[in-house]
Amino acid sequence: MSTAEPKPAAPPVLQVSDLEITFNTRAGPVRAVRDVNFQIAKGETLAIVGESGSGKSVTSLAMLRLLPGAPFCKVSGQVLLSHEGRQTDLVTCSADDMRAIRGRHASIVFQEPMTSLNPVHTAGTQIAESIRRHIGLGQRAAMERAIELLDLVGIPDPRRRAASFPHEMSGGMRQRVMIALALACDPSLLIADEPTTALDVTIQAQIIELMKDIQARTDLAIIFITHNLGVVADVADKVMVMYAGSPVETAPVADLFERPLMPYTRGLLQSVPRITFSASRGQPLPAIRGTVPSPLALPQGCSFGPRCDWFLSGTCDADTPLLQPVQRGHDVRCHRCETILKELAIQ
Amino acid sequence: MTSPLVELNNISRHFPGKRTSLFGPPETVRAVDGLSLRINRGEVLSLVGESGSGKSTVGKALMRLTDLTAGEIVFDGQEISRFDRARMRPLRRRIQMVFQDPYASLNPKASVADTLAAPLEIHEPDLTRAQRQDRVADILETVGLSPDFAARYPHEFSGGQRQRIGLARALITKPDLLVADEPISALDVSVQAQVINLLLELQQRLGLTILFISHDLSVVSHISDRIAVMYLGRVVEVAPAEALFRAPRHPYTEALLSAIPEPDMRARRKRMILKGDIPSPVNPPSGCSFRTRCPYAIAECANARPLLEPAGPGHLKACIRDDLDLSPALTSDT
Repeated sequence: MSTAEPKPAAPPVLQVSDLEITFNTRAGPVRAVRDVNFQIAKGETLAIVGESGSGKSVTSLAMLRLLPGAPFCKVSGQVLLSHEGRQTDLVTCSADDMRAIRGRHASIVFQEPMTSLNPVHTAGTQIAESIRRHIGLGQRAAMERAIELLDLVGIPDPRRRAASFPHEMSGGMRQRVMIALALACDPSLLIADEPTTALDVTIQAQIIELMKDIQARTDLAIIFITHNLGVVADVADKVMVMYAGSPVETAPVADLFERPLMPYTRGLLQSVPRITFSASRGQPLPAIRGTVPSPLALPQGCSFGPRCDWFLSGTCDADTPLLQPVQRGHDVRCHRCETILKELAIQ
Repeated sequence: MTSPLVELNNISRHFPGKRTSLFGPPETVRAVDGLSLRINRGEVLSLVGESGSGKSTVGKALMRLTDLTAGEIVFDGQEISRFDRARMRPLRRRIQMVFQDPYASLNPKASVADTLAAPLEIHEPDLTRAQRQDRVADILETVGLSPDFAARYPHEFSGGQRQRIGLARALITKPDLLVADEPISALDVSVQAQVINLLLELQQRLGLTILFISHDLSVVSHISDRIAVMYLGRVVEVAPAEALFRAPRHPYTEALLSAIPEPDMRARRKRMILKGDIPSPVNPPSGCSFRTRCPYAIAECANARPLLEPAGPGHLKACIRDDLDLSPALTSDT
């Protein structure tokens, strides 16, 4: 998770093309996510950033086929996962194939460590179950491996903790157990859906260090979903910003923070409270006006149009802009991008 | 010098915990344990700490939503911690609260007008119906909502708008003190800035005193005059906002500052990672309660609970080590 030069080309661990997710609701079909395209290589961390309702969590659930199937929900597009020299499309593969992959080659850590562990089994049993099922170790060997994993994720006294139930542990410790569980079968892809949001800042810092440390040792590809831009700056190699169900800007992390181009990204970065003092209290924080639109009633043209300072009627409300490369590795979905670039160059 | 608006003198709130044996006494959860703090008139004082530090209990005790086990609360010269309901009532107009969850803190069956008029019916019963409606329209405008919203119901509003309604309900009685318990942590980042701006604007316009309870240090730095840091039911450091960020004097403050995720790639700092979790408030460590996680702890830290002692102008800290050179969140050139 360094901010250094792009890594040498390796076959992507995951390649997502034209992912689209539609929910059938009483109010009619809702396209919650559309036009999602990205790839992620070994040892790389992609951060997906967005506010609530932007579609970031639904994207992660769809990738591991954890959404309810038809008739409630329809997923289209391609999610190609490389594992053991093969590629499998997770959108179309059989349920049996999916079960063999999920938890083995691709796993997920959820936000809420309180509800994502099974309350009636010990931490050790839950981790060992995954190892026995996917790798076929015996009961005793699987439990030994589970204890090693608990040690790896920095749980003190792992042998005793393996026999503990989730309710006997703190939030930070439960999140460590979730990470141990996700890493149990040495997957090539880890999806972390707001893994630190429910935790206190000092514990959040511990978990982020842990994930970086494990990635450095195992060359894991990580998709890190978060709304916290401070965390993004800390963990990501690449960033994809989502707004109202589609990616609006993707860039290497340093580029995104140095030269954000999409007005939404710019507004989001400016509205994050920095450490500033009451001396500057006369100046209000820059805020984005209005609120995120409902997916049932997206505005015509660019979804961010009504909240945007660069809005140009006749252009921005005419058709939906495409995600287009502006610089190497930096894609932006904005009609006014050229103008914004020019103004930035003048400044 | 004018007297402070609020003085919390050595307050404690202990809750009975679970029973460890069938006939034995229950354990005691020391949510707030001997805390002293004063809030000056017209200032924004922030109370920061992690979950379980007792910061919300302090807010509730001040609102008299929970009773104290020990200590006293002096509000504008009166000791109110043992006031009964009838004696509290006139004071409730002057102390109001905004809650964290804008979805749970509004009555879903009451229209905005009903919600906002209810405090007036109690505290200003002499108002006519028309006067009440005027006040409701006024306060809606004050918090940046259209007076036409009065007839609507909470489900028709977004989180940010609901928090504005919660703020309107608190401000309609023209309080002196506003207790804001994590008022923006349930909101999206782009909306948080709107609500912070509103809160600051109103504080200056109405001359409010605010106790702002939060775990988010970046937000706190932006809005506070002074900051109090809590750990395990006690205040470990109080200082003017800038002094706390530029020259923290307690190791826990240093760790909290260092854990703030920094959205500026150029301002990367070396992280100080604390070991372990916050200990249980049932069995806090002897002496300094932070010593089990403190990288600077020495044997003497276990002896006695450190007292809050002066450490600079307006700066108090509860740490026996005066020889530490702690890293600030900001250096002088930022």
